[in-house]
Amino acid sequence: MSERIVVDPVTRIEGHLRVEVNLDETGKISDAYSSGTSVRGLELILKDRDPRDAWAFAQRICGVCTLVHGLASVRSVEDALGWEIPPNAHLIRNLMSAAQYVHDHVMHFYHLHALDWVDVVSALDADPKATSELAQSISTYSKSSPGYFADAQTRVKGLVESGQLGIFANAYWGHEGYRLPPEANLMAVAHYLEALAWQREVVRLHAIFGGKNPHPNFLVGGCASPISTDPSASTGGFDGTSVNVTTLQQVRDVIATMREFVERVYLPDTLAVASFYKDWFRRGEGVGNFMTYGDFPLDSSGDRSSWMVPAGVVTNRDLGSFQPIDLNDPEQVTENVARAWYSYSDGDDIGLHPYDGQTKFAYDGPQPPYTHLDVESNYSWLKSPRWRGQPMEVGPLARMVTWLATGNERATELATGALRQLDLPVEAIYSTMGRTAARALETQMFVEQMDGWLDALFANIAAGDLSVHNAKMWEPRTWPKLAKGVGTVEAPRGALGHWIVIRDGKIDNYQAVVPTTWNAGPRDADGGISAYEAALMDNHELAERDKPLEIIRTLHSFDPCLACAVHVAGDDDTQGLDISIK
Amino acid sequence: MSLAPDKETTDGFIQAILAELATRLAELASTGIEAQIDLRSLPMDPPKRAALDAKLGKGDVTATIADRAGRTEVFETRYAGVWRLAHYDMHDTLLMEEIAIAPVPDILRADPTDMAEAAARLGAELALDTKKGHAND
Amino acid sequence: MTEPQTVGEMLARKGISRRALLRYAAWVTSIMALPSSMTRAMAQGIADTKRMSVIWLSCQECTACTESLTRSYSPTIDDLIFDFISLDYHEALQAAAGHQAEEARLKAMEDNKDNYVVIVDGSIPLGNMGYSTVAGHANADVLRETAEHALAVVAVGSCATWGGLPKADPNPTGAVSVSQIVRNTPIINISGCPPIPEAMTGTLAHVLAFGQIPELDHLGRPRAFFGNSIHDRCYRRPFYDKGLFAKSFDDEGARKGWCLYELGCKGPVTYNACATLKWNGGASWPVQTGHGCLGCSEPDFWDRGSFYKPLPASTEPLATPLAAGAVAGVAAGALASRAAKTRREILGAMSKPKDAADTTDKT
Repeated sequence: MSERIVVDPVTRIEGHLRVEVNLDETGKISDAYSSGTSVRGLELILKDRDPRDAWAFAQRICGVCTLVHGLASVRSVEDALGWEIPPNAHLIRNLMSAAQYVHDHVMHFYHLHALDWVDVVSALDADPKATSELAQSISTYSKSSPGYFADAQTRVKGLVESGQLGIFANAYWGHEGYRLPPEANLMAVAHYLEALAWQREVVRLHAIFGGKNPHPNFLVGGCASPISTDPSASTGGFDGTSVNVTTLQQVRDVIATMREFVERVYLPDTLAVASFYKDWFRRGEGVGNFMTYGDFPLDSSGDRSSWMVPAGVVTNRDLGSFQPIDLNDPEQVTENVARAWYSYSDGDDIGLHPYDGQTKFAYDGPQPPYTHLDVESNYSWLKSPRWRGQPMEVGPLARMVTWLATGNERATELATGALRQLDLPVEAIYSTMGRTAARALETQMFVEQMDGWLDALFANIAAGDLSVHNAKMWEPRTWPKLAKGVGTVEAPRGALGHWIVIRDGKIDNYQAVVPTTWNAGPRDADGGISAYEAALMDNHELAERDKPLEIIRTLHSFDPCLACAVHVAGDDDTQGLDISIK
Repeated sequence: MSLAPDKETTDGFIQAILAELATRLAELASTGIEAQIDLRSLPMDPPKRAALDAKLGKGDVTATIADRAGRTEVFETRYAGVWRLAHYDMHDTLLMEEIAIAPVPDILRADPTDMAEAAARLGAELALDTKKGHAND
Repeated sequence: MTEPQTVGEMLARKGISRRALLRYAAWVTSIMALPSSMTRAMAQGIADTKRMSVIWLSCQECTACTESLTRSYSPTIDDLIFDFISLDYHEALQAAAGHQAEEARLKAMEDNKDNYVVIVDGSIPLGNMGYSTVAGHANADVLRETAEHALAVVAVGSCATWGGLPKADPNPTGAVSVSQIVRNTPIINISGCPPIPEAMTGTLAHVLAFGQIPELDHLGRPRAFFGNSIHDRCYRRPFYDKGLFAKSFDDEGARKGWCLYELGCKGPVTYNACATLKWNGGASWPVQTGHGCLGCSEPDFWDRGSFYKPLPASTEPLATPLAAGAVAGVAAGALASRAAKTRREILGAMSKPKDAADTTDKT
């Protein structure tokens, strides 16, 4: 007999995710079904709009990875029109994107993922002095006094004694799967609070270049952040814009603040937590195929050799199988709807390239309120993207794999060091905890790159190059009648692509294929399984069926972002509206 | 073309604020009614701000409140009963600035609840000291 | 279970005195455009109440409203959720998952009947109940159920307040705003994409301190934050007045901070506090960086033409502006203790007709 376990809502993620799993008689997960349960319809909304406006719409796909869709969108228009942007604009975009990585990964670890490993209630039993000793044994971070940890403990104790546990109420505290000693739990809880304050400071970088965070501004053709040239005379004491000598120094300070926290808190904490959960390096592998689109260009040449993240595919865990990808090739990237609540005009069992993408709602799931989805039929608002028909994992682990496959020295050094410290074989990275560790390791790599980009920006300014925007193609009348292009971003959660078709100066088709869609999609027409489901079906046994801690651990290792994943648009099939490009 | 601040505009603006202060200060002196002016509510560019601060100057009293939630800098201006206050949060970010027209700004007075808590704490400490004293006998 | 502690007691625990609370109250009073004389009453009100139970419902959303809340400088997010409110349900932040999460919501509703606040981000689709569900329940049903016995519903972000992006033409999912679902509970709209964090936390502090909703404009938004146009409080306004405009995004005028009107800035028809509160601890705000205002706090701003198309010379305000300076004595009569306030009284205060004489056209 099998038993069905449902987790809905999967919390501490972005958006609305539901999973249903079957347990076999031994309590192991035998089948898993991942479902996105909310749809908005952004791509249809984008149709017929001004392509220069698209970034603002697309950016609202997600407010967590808040800038990646804006960036992918402006790049798609620039790619379609062959629109080159100034080097300074590349540098500013790289700084903003890397800042997003650092901010997003740290918040993911502490505020979304940590409570899967850290028992907040157990932290109340910790001795602050012993906690201080523990903290000082793994890091030189300055905030490590017994008083510091006692303060954190007092705050949590205050919640418990007030009888109002708030966000900590009704969780899996005391579950046998929690293995950290009280002092390690208290250390992590203190850093949970510390990271809340830290993140607020470091997003100031986005405000300086983009006006605000969340949802900083972007601009097709470069950046909407002209560098102030006139700090006083004509403006009555104001700098003309928020990009000036003073704020660029603040950017320098923000980078230092980021780097300190990553090196002295996030990375040591991740490895410390991982050392107590080594069995989680033996379960939760995804599909064994990995893909990156690459990113962090320094110019508009399209030459990817200097990019920090390479573009390519590794299949079957074989690092020797690395091969480049072509996102314009209709044979390579396709989206499938065989088990999703959409339909295609030529049948739901075919895959369509995003330029030819169709989006048409066909909800045939149960009417709410419901207790179970019909997982044998259609069960998600996510499509299932495939590369040459195969499911791929994207994200931090995929980047680590393509870096290792292409011989990136720093990645190799970091990964080797971590594996040695934990006494684990290289295969351990293909796992739930491997994914979580890869995220921390790559954060170190991004934070190390940022000063160099800022140095380059300073050097250009010093040499008199202030240009951040190329206005030559601003007027749509200068554009060809028909153009199509793809804008890619290697986003914190993985490979992100926006495909755009521009006709007569307007958007004719817009398709975003995003990281969480790659990882969390439902099964395809051939029964192919995407990464979330595959990972849950890899060696997961529930210790307590009513408290499926194991399920959320593995799901959180992917950092789900469901609003991103479910962005596709269409109309109710009864109205028969069908968007397609032939 | 320059947008350097217009001296006449600045002077007129400062005059208007000072006139308001004079009225409130006279009212305080005769009736004891206190008042506050939130500087956020007055759009002032840096030149205007500098002109106002120069005019008000600094008087005899300066105080700093520093606690776990932040900091407040207080000083009396050249005009008795006219105070400048600047509030900062725990990260030393400026929250707001105000002018208080009062014998003593409200935030400098000890709060009854804080005083009650302090009295209780003092009592407890005394009791503890007495006990310790006996133990040493 | 121990007796719930008051906010004052929670703050005292971590060594925050009433005097320190007075500083915070001075700031909230300031940003809420309340008379300074209400500072002490605000501090007292906050100190004397127990942490307010807050249930945050996410519908068709992108989580930027939550992210924005976490960027609040005063109070900070940790102060807010540890000391001021009890965030009893929030999918993106809460530890509990699955049915335990839903039980936490139901328990908070039961324990705090008529006294909890519901915050909603995202629009609600009515095209098909299967378009957006949580725990197998349609967003609309969960919202109705949760709002019924709430003290107030706070719609945050332009999706919850107006329908926002999902409602943009052609509104594929039949998305609607909170006010089209919730009928008998007072609603506060805090628009913006996302809203300014301090506008959310300041409004919550007001409700916490006085048990009352702040004075709202004709669109249900707190006047304190939405009373002035971006244009009127913009540091670039002097350039507008002198006819100095940036003509492209990186020309000499753009670098000198000239007015962005000709590049499509929607500041003159947009009511929000970006120009005064600014963003991210005052680091900057969109116009200061060099991009025009998108108009994101106004109804249906997505469908008002390109962000880069200049406004016509004579602009109709999207919202009827109200001078913030005219908002005096907002919560007069609100000084009675929070416990004495009933929902009925709050409703009464809410439905009080606005004085038309207050209305001034600022454009």
